[in-house]
Amino acid sequence: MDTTTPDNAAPSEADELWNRIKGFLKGELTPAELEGMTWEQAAAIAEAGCELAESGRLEEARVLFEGLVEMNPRDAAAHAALGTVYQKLTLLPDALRAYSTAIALDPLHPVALAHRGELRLRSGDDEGYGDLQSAVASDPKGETAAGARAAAQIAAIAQTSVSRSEAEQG
Amino acid sequence: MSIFSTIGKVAQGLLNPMGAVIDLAGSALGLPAGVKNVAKVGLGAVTGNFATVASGAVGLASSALKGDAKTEYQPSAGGSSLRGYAPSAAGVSNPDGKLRDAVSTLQVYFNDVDKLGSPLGRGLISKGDLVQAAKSSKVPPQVREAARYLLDHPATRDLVDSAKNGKVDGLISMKDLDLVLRQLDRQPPWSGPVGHGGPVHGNGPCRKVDNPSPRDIHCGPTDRKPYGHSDSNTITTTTTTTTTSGLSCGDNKKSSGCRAPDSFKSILNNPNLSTEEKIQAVLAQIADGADKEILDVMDQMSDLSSRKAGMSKEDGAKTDSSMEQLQLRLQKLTERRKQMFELMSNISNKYNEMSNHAIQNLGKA
Repeated sequence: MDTTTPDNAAPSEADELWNRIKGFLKGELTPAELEGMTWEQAAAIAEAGCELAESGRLEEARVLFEGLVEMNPRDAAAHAALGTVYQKLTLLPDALRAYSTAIALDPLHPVALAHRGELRLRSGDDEGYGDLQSAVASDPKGETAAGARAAAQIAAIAQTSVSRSEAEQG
Repeated sequence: MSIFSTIGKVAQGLLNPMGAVIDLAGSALGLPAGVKNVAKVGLGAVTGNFATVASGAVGLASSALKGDAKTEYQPSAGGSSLRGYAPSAAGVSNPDGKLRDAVSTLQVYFNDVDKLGSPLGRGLISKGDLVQAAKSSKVPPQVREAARYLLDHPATRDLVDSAKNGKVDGLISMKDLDLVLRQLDRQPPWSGPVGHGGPVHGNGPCRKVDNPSPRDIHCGPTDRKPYGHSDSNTITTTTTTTTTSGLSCGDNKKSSGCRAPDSFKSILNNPNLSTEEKIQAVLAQIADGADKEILDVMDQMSDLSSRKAGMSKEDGAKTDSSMEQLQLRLQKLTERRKQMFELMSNISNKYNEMSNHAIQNLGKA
């Protein structure tokens, strides 16, 4: 079989694949781009992961989200979702790391901000309050469960602070 | 003034009346009424710093909010979640190639009927036009089928509708169809289903649209302004950079413009291999190349070592220097090979594991 391609010919399928492999080896492309994985496919896998986590099959959910993160380390949503699975598995340092990675990729990611904020506050780190505020600012209508949760947390803190303030004054 | 007072005053000043705010938050966001009461009851015991208060309040709120964090896949708005995924067109799934057929058919038909002045065509296709086309016995069967396809896939229809200007106005223009076709045609065969090129559509986290296809799952709000302006995000890829030997492309520095080297063409052009198998085979061949380089360096070291025996002191010193350089090169090659192996192995394992679990669960999700 003659596999040579004239220089002025359109790139063949083989050339396309080769360029992806090359881009991947140079660190320019993610494994998802190498394999041809689209966002829709990732979203379908994530949906399955969400369902598994919801039904308590956390190890399986973890496999899916770890796989998504491995395939596309640039997907903030996958990191954040993986963080919630780690959190449920009580792997809190891993959860914090996952949320922080998500926030580094997308500083306005409400899921990562809300959950990192909560974890930080629970561990006595008052920086968590800023995370909660950012989560609410980025999801003011509470469209994500995390955003709504952050708003509720802030409301509880504010209420406590108001009461505390009143007590201090009175 | 303590931080509690500050927050309290801010809350009272900006959010006054706080009770109303809490009530509003409670009802709008699902904050159970118990949270504020519990927080108030806890007040008497609160004597620590802000972190303690906040931690306590968060703990109470969390238990009132029924336990753990919900797992949700919330794509970054503004399309930045698409980064790192395979290129895609117009946000339309085309898993079985039917979309292309449908769009192409409708474009030809409605262009024609438009010229003929048919009431069906006026350069724009509404849902009503599609319904009429799908039902009418006067319409060719392939057009009926194409119309039915778009009617049966409303999410896809919206994405075709919005191809030109990103807005769903209920009317598909010839330009919309043309753009979708161009985008679909730009997809190389390996990319499989085409995906999303525009803003993420949907009203919330991980919801399914009325089409049962798993590829029509849309996550994330539309046009949520405060969220999604992440174009300036620092993106740090953790993809390991490994050996790049043999990856040069002459003067062309752009990796997208290279021809596949002859040594890989037999693999890349093999019709019996899947894309996955081709990738693995090429990576394995590159790893083999690294092995050969390592062996070559080891041979050179062995050769130098045996020649050194009969050398003068001066020549021996030069040989030592060469040997050090070879050792350094060997070390680098070995490290590179190790990285390459770990990368291949890790990706392959994670990919396979994820695929297996996904296949088992996609149908159930």
